[in-house]
Amino acid sequence: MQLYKNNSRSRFYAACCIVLVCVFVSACDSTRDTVYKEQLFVFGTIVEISIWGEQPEKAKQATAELAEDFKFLHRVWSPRARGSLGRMNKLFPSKLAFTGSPSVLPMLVKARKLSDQSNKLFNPAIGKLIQLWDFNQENQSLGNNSQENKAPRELPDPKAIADLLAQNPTMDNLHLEGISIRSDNTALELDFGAIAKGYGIDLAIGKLREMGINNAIINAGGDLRAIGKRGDRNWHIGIRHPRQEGMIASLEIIKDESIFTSGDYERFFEYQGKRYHHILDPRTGYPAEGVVSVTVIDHDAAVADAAATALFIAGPAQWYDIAKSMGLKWVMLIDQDMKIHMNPAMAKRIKFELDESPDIKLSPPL
Amino acid sequence: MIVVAKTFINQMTKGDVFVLAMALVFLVILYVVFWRVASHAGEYIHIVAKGGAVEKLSLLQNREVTIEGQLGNSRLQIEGGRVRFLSSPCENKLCIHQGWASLSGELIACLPNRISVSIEGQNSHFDTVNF
Repeated sequence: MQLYKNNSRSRFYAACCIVLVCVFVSACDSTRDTVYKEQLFVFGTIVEISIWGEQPEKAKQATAELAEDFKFLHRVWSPRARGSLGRMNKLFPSKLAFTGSPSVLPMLVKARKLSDQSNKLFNPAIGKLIQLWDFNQENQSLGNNSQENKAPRELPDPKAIADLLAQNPTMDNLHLEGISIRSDNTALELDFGAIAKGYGIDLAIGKLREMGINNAIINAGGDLRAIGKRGDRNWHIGIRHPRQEGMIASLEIIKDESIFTSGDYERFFEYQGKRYHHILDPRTGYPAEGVVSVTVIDHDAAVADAAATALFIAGPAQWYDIAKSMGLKWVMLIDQDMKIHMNPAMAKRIKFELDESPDIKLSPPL
Repeated sequence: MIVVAKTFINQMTKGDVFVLAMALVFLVILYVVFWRVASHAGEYIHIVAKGGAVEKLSLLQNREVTIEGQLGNSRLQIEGGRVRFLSSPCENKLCIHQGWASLSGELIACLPNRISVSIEGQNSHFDTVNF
């Protein structure tokens, strides 16, 4: 049986086939993701690293180095672990001067400044209060593998909370001379939980840059800093809806920015039908009320981190003043009635991903 | 025009039919790959568990998957282009609280059990998600 009647026609068909295959293959190739993405269980959370435009080997190498750094930082910055900060926290109650750890001091100095700017709403000196609430038991502190059944959660003793509030530890209790440090308040215990993530991300971005990587995102448990672009377009970030599945909004990163959100849904427990989340108001000793989430955009991840916490505590009435004093440019606060408070510059760049337009209250420009 | 077509059909050999059939098959494949899948919310589920073991699963299926984590087995439900944690041996069940993820760029996870589930695709809705 003759398959083809004549040669020229079969050549024509063969050519067609080849063209088709080529089109098919090249289409596959052109849409291939050129973003290298990896998820790491480090730093007490999940760190997702996205790198655009680098050879996979280089991206993999960079990611592995960052993983080591994050593991190190988690240890030295844990308030009660056998690391640098744990050691300092053990020494503070002595009121004696000692040499502060080089892996803690730079962050401490930055945290002290931000605490001041936030009118002490961001207060890293309330480690004891945070321990009292023990959200880290919930936080499944990675590294602690024991998972024996624990008793149901109870609220901390109100008297213990009142005692700590009365002693009022703040960053002003710390006296720093060169690298020598002492505390004049025995109730002071440092907990950098509201800045360490940002500070660590800043360090990691610095390291990527040193390695010549200029297009990347580092997302640590939902808070992130993005630099550069994804090819010929900007990085596109979704902001998760605090009360339902999917996104509430999205926005694009311009050059080098951090986006941090503090929400009441991130870490919480329920006790007698009431939800207790992890963002403690240092003025009351209890979880801050009136706010569902605060999103801050800033160039600096450490600033965005501390600011998101401070503005959450400040609430709908005070966020604007604190944001101004912290020098912020873009803020969105969602209150308990799902009303969205934001400054005009934020409104300009945020794109809502909702079916119906939300209830928005614009503040004066920051 | 019709005459030309008729002549063409009459002159067709088995080879011609074969080639045309191949073209049709290609068309169907192209449709599936570039229309149905590509237009879909997320393309695949990327699972990381137990210190880096990675699994890739289609999001376009209905099934339950058991993933072995550090503490034990977590169960995931994949349904109609979305995925969620059904159960996990963790204490606080925050992973289940997160609900469904369906958009590429989204990530849900069980930290205590060290399992992360992200949705990835070529035409990402989002490069990453802030929460």
